[in-house]
Amino acid sequence: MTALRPDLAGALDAPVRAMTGRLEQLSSEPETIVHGDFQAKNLLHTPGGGIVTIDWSDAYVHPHLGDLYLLLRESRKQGRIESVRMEALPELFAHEAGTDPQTVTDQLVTGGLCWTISALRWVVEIGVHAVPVSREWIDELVTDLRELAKRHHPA
Amino acid sequence: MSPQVQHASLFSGYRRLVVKGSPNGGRDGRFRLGVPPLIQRVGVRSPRRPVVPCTPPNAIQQPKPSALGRGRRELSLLLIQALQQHAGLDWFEVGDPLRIPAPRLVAEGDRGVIVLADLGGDNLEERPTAEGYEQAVRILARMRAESALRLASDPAPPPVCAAPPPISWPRRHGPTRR
Repeated sequence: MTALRPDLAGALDAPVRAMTGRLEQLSSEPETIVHGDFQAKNLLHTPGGGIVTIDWSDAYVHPHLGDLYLLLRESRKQGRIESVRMEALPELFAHEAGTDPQTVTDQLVTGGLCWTISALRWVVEIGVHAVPVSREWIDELVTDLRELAKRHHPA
Repeated sequence: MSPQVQHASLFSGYRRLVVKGSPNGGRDGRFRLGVPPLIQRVGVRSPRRPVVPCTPPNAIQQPKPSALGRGRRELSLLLIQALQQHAGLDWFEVGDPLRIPAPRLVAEGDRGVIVLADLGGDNLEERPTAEGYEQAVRILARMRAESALRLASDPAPPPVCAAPPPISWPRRHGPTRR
């Protein structure tokens, strides 16, 4: 990335430290499915009032909760849903998953780091060539990573 | 030209679906997937060799294609169905093995042609509702729980990345020692 954006040299030091610190914890969590692009544009309303998930081409097996992180991230950016309802989603997820909200909050940091690092890597390696406008996403992704790193508190 | 799936391999380490034609109404070519190993690991273990279905570009209606989403959605609809069936998941007969709501097969025509359910409607980005987001969160939680359960009961085999076997040079062609 430094070759592409020399001004961002060192910008990922803290996120990388945070991610490294969380790898061991992540390795002890159960593997499951990660959609990889779980956001509103890939969730279709059905006539019966349900939701159908499409676009599975990026799915893989991993424990991280990047799917929920991405869903919340994009919905906050859209800002079209009442914030109280949106902010209650992690707790709803915790209830549905049978875990406590604090655990989900922590999983969202790890999932956010995983998703954002993957997204940034895609932009740097592929996006800038295939989708030139993606170059404009770099700053936002780096900012997100740095914010997530601040929420990482080493044990 | 209707697209034809030329080759799909889920059981020999390949992660590739080769499609000739324009399943997404755009470029022809080969499409790499991350889905097959997941299907292989999470799904049932009864691989069979069906006719891998594919669909003509006009089989899926797309009510409101977006510039970037067009094609990718159609391709995804095609691939998830094709892969599920190819993996022997019998999605349409036994229900929903991963408990993931997905497009359904509504008709099967001649060899290599299927018609998928037209999902209609808008996506959650076009028509955001709090109820839709809550439903998505429930689906995500259920999907992760179910998949974790299946993966735990059927762990993946160790990765096949062993060192290549030592080369045994035939005596007459082997490297010469001075």
